[in-house]
Amino acid sequence: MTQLEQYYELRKKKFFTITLLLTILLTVTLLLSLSVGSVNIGIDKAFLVLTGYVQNKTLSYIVLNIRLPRTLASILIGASLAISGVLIQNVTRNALAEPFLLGLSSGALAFIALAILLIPSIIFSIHYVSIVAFIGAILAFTLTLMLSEAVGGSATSLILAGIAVTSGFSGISSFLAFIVQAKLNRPFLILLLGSLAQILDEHVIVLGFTFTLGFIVSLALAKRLNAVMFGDEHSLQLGYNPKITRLISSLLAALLTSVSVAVAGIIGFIGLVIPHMARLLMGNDNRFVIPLSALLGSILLCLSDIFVRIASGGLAIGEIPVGAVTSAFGAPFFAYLLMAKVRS
Amino acid sequence: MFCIKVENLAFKYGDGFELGKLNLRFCESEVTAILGPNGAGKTTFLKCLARMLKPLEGVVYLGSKELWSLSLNEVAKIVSFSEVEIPQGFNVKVVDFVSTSRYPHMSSFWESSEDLKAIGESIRKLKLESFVQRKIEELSSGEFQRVVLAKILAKKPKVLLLDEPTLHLDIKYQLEILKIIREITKEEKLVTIVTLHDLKLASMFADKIVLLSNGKVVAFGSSAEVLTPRNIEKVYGVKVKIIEDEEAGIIIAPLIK
Repeated sequence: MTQLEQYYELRKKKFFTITLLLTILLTVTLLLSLSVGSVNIGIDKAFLVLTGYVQNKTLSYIVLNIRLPRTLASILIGASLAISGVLIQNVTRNALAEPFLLGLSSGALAFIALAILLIPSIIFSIHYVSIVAFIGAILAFTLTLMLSEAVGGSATSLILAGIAVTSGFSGISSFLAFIVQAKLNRPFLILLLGSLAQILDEHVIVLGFTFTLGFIVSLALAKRLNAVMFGDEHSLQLGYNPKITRLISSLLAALLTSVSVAVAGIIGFIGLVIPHMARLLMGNDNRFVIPLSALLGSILLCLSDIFVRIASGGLAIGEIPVGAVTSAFGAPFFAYLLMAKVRS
Repeated sequence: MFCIKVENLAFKYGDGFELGKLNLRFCESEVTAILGPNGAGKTTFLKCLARMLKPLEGVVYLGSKELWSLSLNEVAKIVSFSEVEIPQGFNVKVVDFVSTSRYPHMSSFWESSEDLKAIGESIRKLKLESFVQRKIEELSSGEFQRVVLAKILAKKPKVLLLDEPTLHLDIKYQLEILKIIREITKEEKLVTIVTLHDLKLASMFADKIVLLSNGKVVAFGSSAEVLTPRNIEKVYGVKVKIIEDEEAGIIIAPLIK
């Protein structure tokens, strides 16, 4: 076996080992999430209830009907946002890009709020809300890209354009969300900072479907993404039309982001932090980065939500928005990447 | 014998720059240098051969097949072009970059042992064994040019199109990289076309030279035929004296009035 073959073998082994470890970690996180709440249930008991060995009406109701949908939603949203980040970073060739920073999340929420004001009954259909969010996310992403091109198209101008578009849509969505909450008398403002407090079974189904679609298609695009990362001409040399790669990836990123926003509002920085962690573990090859990002993203958001529930319970001040938690650790990481970029 | 035939090729940019019409022929085991001042159309011409720019008129034949009748993937298997932009902040390793070159040949998700063999060979050929784990962003210009060359060779192409492979290199690396390009062209029977700025280097390493000016061919042939004081003055507006030396070949000395 040549040295290179050995390296490739080792790398695959490393990948499968990391994947296995993260899967175990995800399972533990999931059980922990089922056990944490106003009623404390031990991890072992949560496991037994989940697998059906303990049949206690109250416990089953808490674990399976209240906590399981919320936990699954946090896992699926974390994974979706992480993959969305991988896609966006690759197609913009910008390691600082992510769906929240480029305006997709705010665009999606602004459109949801607008749609609810125009047709209030839409709020009861996660499908319609998702479609509206998808349109908003695409519009915001297009605006960011156009604005970035207009001011020179550099890596920095993309981020600045994203901040401009995010600010615009955040303003609009805050304004509209306030009216929605007052008029419909439903908690809506909390979506501005992301919340997993109102998860229904049908949300989990929609999230599961979009995540599965997004995961399979982005894995199928992995080599194309590796190619486009080195520029359009490099992609053409490898026989891939970069425009097609970019179009499919952008639509997919918008879909993953908008369904997440439709269910849980704006949760930032997962799409930025997670792909970097995955690359730190396995390098830049998207065939590894995509599955690892999905795992890492789901673990991170599930942990953040566990933290939210513990902290909210302890402080007795109502629920802290989960987006506030992800921003609190995501923003310093963004600052660190920014500094590393300025230095180089 | 495998040749690229260019017949009446013409291309026009939106800003009015025109290339052509060009009639040229490049054959296997030959290194052809494209020379000419900035804006002469050297890179544009290479991109027309790489199926990146669609010509307005004329035909390019890859062997017996017309370039634009082939799919993007079919061309990608045969032609290797050196244009690359390295993204910042992605921590790209040399080996991952070089291995992307195999994609046109890969029908499976992972690299086959044949792919790995091709990647390994090109890494060995450019003596990059100790570099494979290095990050691309941290390489010097000379090292980077070698990595780019390794990448495009890993594809096992029949045609090498190199846009300024000596850019930003000092004289030692310029000579080294052109020597490698020449050797590989002969060994693997490649059709190699390189754009260069240095007339002297072109005369040393190219079998044939195309002199371009304002999108038109001023001269095409051996270096003795093309690099004459008359042609150089016509294209670059500089008077030169050409001195022949037994050891150094030709010396092109500019005359400053």
